[in-house]
Amino acid sequence: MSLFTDDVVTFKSVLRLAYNFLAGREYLKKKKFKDRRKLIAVALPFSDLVYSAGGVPVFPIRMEKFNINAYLAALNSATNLFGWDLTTKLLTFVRQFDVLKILDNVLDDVIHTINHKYNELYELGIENGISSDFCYGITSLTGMFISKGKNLDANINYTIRCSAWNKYSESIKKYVPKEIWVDIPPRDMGNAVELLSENIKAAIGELEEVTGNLVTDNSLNKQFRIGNQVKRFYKTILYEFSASDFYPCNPATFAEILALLGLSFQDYNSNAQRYLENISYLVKEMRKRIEKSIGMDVKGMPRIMITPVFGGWEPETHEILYRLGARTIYADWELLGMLEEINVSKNSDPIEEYAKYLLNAMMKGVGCDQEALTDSYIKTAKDLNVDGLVFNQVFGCHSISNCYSLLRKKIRKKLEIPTTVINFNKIGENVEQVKTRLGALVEMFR
Amino acid sequence: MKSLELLSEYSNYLEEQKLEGKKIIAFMSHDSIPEELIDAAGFIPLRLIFAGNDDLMNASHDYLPPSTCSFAQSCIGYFARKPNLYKFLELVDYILLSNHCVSDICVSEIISDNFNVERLNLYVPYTRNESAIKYYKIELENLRKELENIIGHEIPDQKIKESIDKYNLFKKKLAEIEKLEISGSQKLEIFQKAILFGPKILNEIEKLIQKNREITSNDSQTESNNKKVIFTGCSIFLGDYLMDLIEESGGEIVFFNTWIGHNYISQIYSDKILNSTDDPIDLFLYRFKTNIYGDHSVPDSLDNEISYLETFINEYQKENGEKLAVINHVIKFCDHFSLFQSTLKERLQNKGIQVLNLERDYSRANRGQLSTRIEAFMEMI
Amino acid sequence: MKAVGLDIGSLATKLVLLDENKKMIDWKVNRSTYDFKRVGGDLFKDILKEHNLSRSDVFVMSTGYGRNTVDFANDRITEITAHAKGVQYFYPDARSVIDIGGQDSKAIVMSSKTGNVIDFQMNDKCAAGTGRFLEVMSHALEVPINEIGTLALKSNSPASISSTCTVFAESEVISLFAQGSSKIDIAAGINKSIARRVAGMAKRIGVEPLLVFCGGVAKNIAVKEYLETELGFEIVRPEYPQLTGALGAALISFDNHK
Repeated sequence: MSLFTDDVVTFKSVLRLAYNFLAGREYLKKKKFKDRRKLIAVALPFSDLVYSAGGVPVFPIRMEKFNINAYLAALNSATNLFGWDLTTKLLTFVRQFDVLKILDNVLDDVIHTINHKYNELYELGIENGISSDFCYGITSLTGMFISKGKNLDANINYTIRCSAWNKYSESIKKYVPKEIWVDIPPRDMGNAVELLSENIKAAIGELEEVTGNLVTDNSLNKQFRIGNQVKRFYKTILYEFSASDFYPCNPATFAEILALLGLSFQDYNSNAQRYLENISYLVKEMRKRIEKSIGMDVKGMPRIMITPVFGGWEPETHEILYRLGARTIYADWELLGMLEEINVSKNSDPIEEYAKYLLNAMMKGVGCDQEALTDSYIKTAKDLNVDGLVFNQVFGCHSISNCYSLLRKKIRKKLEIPTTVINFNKIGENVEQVKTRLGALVEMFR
Repeated sequence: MKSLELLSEYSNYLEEQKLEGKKIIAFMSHDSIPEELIDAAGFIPLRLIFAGNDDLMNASHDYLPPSTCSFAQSCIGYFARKPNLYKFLELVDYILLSNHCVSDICVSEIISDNFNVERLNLYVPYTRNESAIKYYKIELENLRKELENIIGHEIPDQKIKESIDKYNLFKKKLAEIEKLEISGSQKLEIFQKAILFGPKILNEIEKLIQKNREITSNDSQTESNNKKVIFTGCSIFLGDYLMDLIEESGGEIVFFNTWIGHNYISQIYSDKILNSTDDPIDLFLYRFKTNIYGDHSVPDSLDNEISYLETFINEYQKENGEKLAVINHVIKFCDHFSLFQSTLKERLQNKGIQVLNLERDYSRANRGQLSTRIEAFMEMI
Repeated sequence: MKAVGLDIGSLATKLVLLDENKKMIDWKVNRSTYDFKRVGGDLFKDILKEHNLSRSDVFVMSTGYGRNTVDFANDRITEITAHAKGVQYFYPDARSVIDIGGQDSKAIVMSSKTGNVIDFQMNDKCAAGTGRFLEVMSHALEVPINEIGTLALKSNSPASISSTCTVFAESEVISLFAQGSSKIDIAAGINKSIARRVAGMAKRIGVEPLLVFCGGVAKNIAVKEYLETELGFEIVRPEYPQLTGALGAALISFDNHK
């Protein structure tokens, strides 16, 4: 149980985001077969080039059928008939009488449903020969390709510091018809922007071949503008609302929304414009609720950043923290530099600007050395003004997870905020340890 | 030569070199490290090729989670514990960080941050396209500059070229070892020694080849009943008991398709290439570009490895009438080889080649089960 | 000449005696303890004495985890090959074997033409999916190990044990108790967890019917049923599933001395 139905039932924007994530399969089918668009897999937030090429980016779990599909279909029919506004009003009304369980089932709970699917795909990866020693993220991503890779037209890979990631990217080529690579220089030796720009150009050429569309400066800039606005709204939620003393919902729901944003940000739910509208509406809705004092006074509840979660984490975490009297902040993409904007000024070269964006993200995030990465943790913790930091050490992760001992030292020296580590192997496997460690952490604030 | 003697000899060698004022650069990485450049600058290149054990792995857990590659754990352990036979690691002046895999990065960072060893960096791109080659060139030039800064003068092109020639000749000789009719363990010992000492032992290698040829021409050849296999995946490092287990189980490794083995030896320049340029950096770039089946590269490293193994097995069968089986050695938590093991096995088996995926760490407790797997595989083939 | 197969496993030592016609005429099982050599030697002495035999009357083939400790054996063989041979004594059409012993679990595939092993897979060092896992869990549940299977089959809603690690699983069992799950449902969850893990390993090498389930854990009826569910086909279990390794070793010793 995670998303709190009572909270979210009136949160139209969240409902839409959740719906668009979970109903991806139907949407993608329509795009592929009716609109003849090309589906291109992405993982990590690297969808901009695909959008610019007129392809449909897909974080592959969204091709799956989720358990709540029947309810989603009903919800879809209702929104077609009444529109979102009326539908949510109607659902709120109906729920009072406990007659229809549609919304409860959709929202009870979104993240749990997604994570349940993650576990299934993890098992599929293991069944197909991925050693159980590999991290959860890579194993379940492999499962996603085994399950639905054949429906894709291509997959776009970006090389990063993690060698398991790069080799995983090579390994999935047996499940997709085409692989497109963007080799990101490991560090900037003066010519990295130029070289990465060449690689981006080559990738664009391949994308054009797959989609049959031309990528122009305009199409790139158009997408970057959308992305920049999305990032601004995302940051507003992270910096403004999450730091507020009054939340538009209870803190567990708030964390759930952050988790949903974290997942959906990777492909913008396959429709960047729609995603922008949703996240813009989310910000408006949150603001309005706070103004009307709908939500929860969270003053005095310590704010704990849990990170990294993008490779898998225990979804009970934020609810455990809530019950312990704390708030949870998920801010991976900010920490890893993915929420930086891309320059779209008049005379800029969009390919070069995208190269700069990628390089910046690499130099502070998934491509850099331990020193720089741990500095990014410290900076984000400072910027977000969190009261504590929980490091999610993923079993089998040899890249970010190895940073913890250095990070702990730095936190002690530079931040002096409570910190702890929780170990993650697979969802549901280690809840008791999580409870104990988070309990001890929250006690430090008393 | 057994590993204890080799380590002792190596230790003496390094001590002598240090007394002569030479500095030592250690590194974990494999195929994209220009050891000739290090040699030309007057440093001793020291590849960390030492197998681990429980104690060493445990010692690393203050720095890394236990779910890290056992070899990487052990490398940290060597610097943390400095066991008697490995006291020479105290002589290391620099660690050269490369991104062969992420454990390579982490281990090098940890060694330099915690054990008073200065760090140099050489990052290597994953692909082999034109911009990757340009990038690698800049990294090489940067490393050259860093070395020059340390020694206080330029490293002349000519000196690097001479070093390349020296190593090239050495590798050519090692390639002859591959073809000798000696046991797998004997070959492995030579390869391990060669990788530690480099061209310094060229004479020794030449004599060994000569001696072996004489023995072979005098002896009538006896057919061995051992099961012949190719060894691929992670290298067998110095001090590992794995080779003993394989031979005790009746296995005979006829070809080491690993870094300590053919991957190192095969990086030979033809005379034509050697003479094609005066710029030694170009030669490094050529080697980088043509090394397409090194496990660091993407996107086709596995395809290239499978195709190489298949060709080798077919040719061996034509020449010797025997079909080789494959042992794919995977050190636990190795990002590169672990992920591919099931695909490699499946694809080779589809071609009628038997494969044993041997995943293991360096713990003592593993030995019994490892032995069962190997023996059962030998019984199967 | 008669033949003795001696299978020294990590938890149990098994001995089988075959007559000249390869008919099983006697067998013995004892706990292995830490002294593999002594336990194996004692069983061997006992069987010779009971059948008025001397050492020279029998071939001896050792197998199992402690096979190398048997200094009186004529030869030794791994339990992989031994099980494959042993199951074909009872089921000549057998194509696959799942053997779950105390220390290891194995899946073996045999050739349909020769009956020889053509592929196998073993668990990694981790104890999940082995008899040891069951032992630790039965201790946590406070249920004797030989009762955990029958107890499990009474469950209508097996608890979910998602941990693949024995240590984590033990703490998961404790937390399930804390949440009020019944002993029966937890027992079912434990057995299902083993079956799922072993079936996953077996599927990776393409096991197919007729599959023989052997090893000490094969005595657990729940694991057998859950394995069938996971694999999607029925599997068979010999009357003495613990003995197939020793039996196979004895049979191979005949072949070697033809």
